[in-house]
This record gives sequence, structure tokens and C-alpha cells, in this order.
Amino acid sequence: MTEVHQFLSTFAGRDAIGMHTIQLRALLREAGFVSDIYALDTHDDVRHDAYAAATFRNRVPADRDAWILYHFSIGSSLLDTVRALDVPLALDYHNITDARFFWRWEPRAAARMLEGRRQLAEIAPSVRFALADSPFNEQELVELGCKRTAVAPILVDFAHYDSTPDATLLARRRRAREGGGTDWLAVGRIAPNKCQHDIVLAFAAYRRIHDPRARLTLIGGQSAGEYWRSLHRLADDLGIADAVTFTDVVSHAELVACFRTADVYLCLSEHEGFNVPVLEAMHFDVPVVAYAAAAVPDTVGDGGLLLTDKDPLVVASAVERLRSDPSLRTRLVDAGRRRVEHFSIARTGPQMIESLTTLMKESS
Amino acid sequence: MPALASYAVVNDRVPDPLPHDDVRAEIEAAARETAARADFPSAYMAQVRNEGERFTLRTADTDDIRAAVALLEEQTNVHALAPVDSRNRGVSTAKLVVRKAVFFAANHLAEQMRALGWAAASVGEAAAERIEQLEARVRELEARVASLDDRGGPSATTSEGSSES
Repeated sequence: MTEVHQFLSTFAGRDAIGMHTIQLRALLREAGFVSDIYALDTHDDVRHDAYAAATFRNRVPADRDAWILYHFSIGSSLLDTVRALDVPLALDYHNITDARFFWRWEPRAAARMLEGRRQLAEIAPSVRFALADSPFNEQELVELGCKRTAVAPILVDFAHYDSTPDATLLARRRRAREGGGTDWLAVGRIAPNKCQHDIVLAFAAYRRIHDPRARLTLIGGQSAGEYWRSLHRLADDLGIADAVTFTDVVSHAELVACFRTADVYLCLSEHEGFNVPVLEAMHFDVPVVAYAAAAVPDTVGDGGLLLTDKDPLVVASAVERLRSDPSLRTRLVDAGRRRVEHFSIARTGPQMIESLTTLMKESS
Repeated sequence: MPALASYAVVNDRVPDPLPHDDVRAEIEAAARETAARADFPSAYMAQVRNEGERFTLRTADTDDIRAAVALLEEQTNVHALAPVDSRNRGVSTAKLVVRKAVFFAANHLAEQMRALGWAAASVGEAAAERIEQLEARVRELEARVASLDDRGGPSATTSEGSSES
């Protein structure tokens, strides 16, 4: 029986790649493959879902018909370990953040990104095939000389979001809404490439010009300490600190509570390989305003308002238009629902397995 | 009566697709109109854009020496007052007490760091100036070499040389 095992450097159950890996393992097993997850560093919440990468050869002897699907998103010594196993290797490429965004905030993180780019350039021409979350990611693989590629979107089970929200947070946010004011929401690591500073700038403009009672919630852990502190200083300096909430990492129930009480979702990121949170927002019928950069247009499609200019005044005007034009808002929410349907696991799951099996046959 | 397939095609069509380009153009026009209003908060928006520039410096190309120098200047604004925020009110109070107790020393260090920062920035400024002059000179020489090549190689060089003398 053919085995397809997934390897990733860091396995966290609540990030998009971690959830994708778990979904893919289930699909592979359903399709008749033996499939496990191996990681270098496993978070506690998924400790029982993965094996240590170093144990692979003890569990899968060399005479088995096995493949490795390596999830690529950052430079890691794990890739060298995997290559040394002499097992047919394929990539699932989730993109590597451009180091330019991190050099002057967090040089150590930038160095890992550069190392990732170097590793990718070295390995891309020699892997059997590669899957990419988006056409944007696929283009990078093709440019690096990857011979066989296919787009297979990240697997998201949207039913997972139809769960009970955190009651305390939901009640608190609903009380705040009784006093009026638009609720802006953004979800994702607080990182320079995601440009949360542009959201804060646009929000400041919006409060001053359109809605002085508006609130902004930024959900996400910090990935560059100085950037995080600078964002807080920015909110202070612009006199909007009381209206901006930095939640840091939240539980799934808290995330659901925030989506259920948001009026508009903002994504002004300049570098994304896919971006799951915009689809989460669409799932919760929250209209999306996004900046058309990197893979964001691939994911948003026509399900959100894509801007080509993220000047604070333009972004503020976009949110105001959504607030004052219920018809546009309704149409955008409907378009968002269709977009979520497009990425539903009922569609993407079979596509993923078909791409994988076809490429495996062609590459054997 | 149309075939079943035709119904399927009709049903698959996106109902009333949103004219995204038109909406985007209307939003940008609305932004321009807002900026032209008499009550537009020009001073505040200037501050917003100015604050935004600080972030842009950090994501400039890594070989952008002017951006690097500007960032260095920006960073010379060393704050002697450490943040005292904490989820725990007691911890916040304790931090405030410590901050007050060591302020004279922290401020003394901060003053020297600011001076060092400005000195480093002035070195960077001078280096950037000289590098840009050298780059301009190299470009000029490259253009001259290219022009000589176009004229036919070594014999043209001789001709160019004689015309200059």
C-alpha cells in the first residue's frame, strides 16, 4: 500500500498550515493511503497528532512504497533531514515571506526567510512535483524551475467555525456595539508584511472623518516585537489607543465571537501566499476590504472589495461606502458566500487528492 | 424548450455580479471629494501620513541607503520613559515606581544615546552623499565607454582622445 507522509517544521493545530495538514491526512487516509504527520517542533495542542521527524525511519522502513509531502513556508534544517531519507519528495508550497519586510524589524526572522528562499531555489528543480496554495505561489515555483506543479488551495473546513462563541466576549462586544460605531476587524500575525500599520492609519482617518465611535480589533500574536511596539505607539500618537484593541493570540471561541460582532474585515497585507482569514470573514458574512497584493486577489476573487490604492483616505472611504450603502454590502456578502463555497472542503478536498494522485503517477 | 444543459448554464451564472471597477472608482472619487471639503482635517491627516512614513522606511529595499539613514535618524529619538502597562494593576504601579526611581540615570544614558545616534546618522549621511557622487561618476564613465564602443573601438578611442586634447 502506498504511503504519503507529511513533514513540516513547526506543527501548530490552530494555524492555517496546521489545520490544512490535519485535513489532508484525513483525506489521504480516506483515499486509501497510509498517512502520518512528522514535525520538528510540535505544539502541545496537536502533540498526539504528530511523530517526531527523527523517528520516521523507525516507523517507515526503506522498502516501503512511501512518499514525503513537505510543507514549505520557512527555512528549516528539517529539509536537509528529509532529503537524506532518500524517499520520493514533493512540496506543498505555502510561500515564504519576503525578507525585505523583516530586515529592519526582526533581522533574525529575515535571515530564516532568506534561508528558506535559498533552500527552495536549491530543491525546486529536483523535487518530483509541487503543490501550491495559489496561482501566485505556483508562479514562484515555476520560475524556480519546478517541473510539475498544480494549484491546490489550502484546506479549510468552514463547519469548524459554526461553533459556540465565547459568551463573555460576545456579550462585552455586543454591549460596546449598543453605543454605536463601526467595528473593524483584522486577523493574522502582527507582522510587517501584513501591514497592520496601514489598517491603523486608515482607521484613524475613518474615526476623524466618518465615525468617531468606530472601534478596531487586531487579532494575532506578535512575530516582530519592535513592530508590535511601534503599532501601539502609532495608535497612541494618533490619539486612538482607546479605540484599538490588540488581543494577541485568542481561543477559537473568542475568534468566533469577534467575527460575529464585526461590521467590516480589513486585509491590507502586501505579502500573502493564500490568506485564510479573509475567507473566514466571508463565512461570517462580514464584508471584506482588501488590498490587491501577492496572492490576496487569488483568494478574495470577486468576494470582497479589492483596492489598488491603500491610502488611508481611500480605505476609510471604502469602509464608509459599505456602511452607507446597504445594497452594496448585501451584494458583497452574497459574493463572499459564493467565494467560500468555491473554497469549501467538499470542492477543494477531492481536487487536492486528484492533483496529488495524478502527479504521483506522472512522477513515479 | 431549452435543453437541461442550458438551464444548468443559466443557473450557474453569478446573479447580478458586482461592478468592482466602478465601485472602486467611486470610492477613490469619494476620497478625493472628502479631501477637498472645507472641514477636511488637513493637519490631522498630515500627521497620519507622516506617521505612516516611519513604517515605510523600514520596508524600503535593503540597499536603499537614504532610507537606512532616515531610519537611523528616526531611531535616535530614544525614550527614557519605559512603558509601564501591565494587565496587573499592582505590577503597573511597581513599574511606575521603579521608572521614577531610576529616571535620572535612564535619562542621562538616553541623552548620550541620542547624541551617538545623531553622530552615526551624520556619518551615514556623508557616506550616502559620497556614494551617490561616485555612482553618478561611474554612470557617466560607463556612458562614455559605451559611446566610444559604438563609434568603433580602439581607433575611435584615439580619435576621441585627440579631439579632447
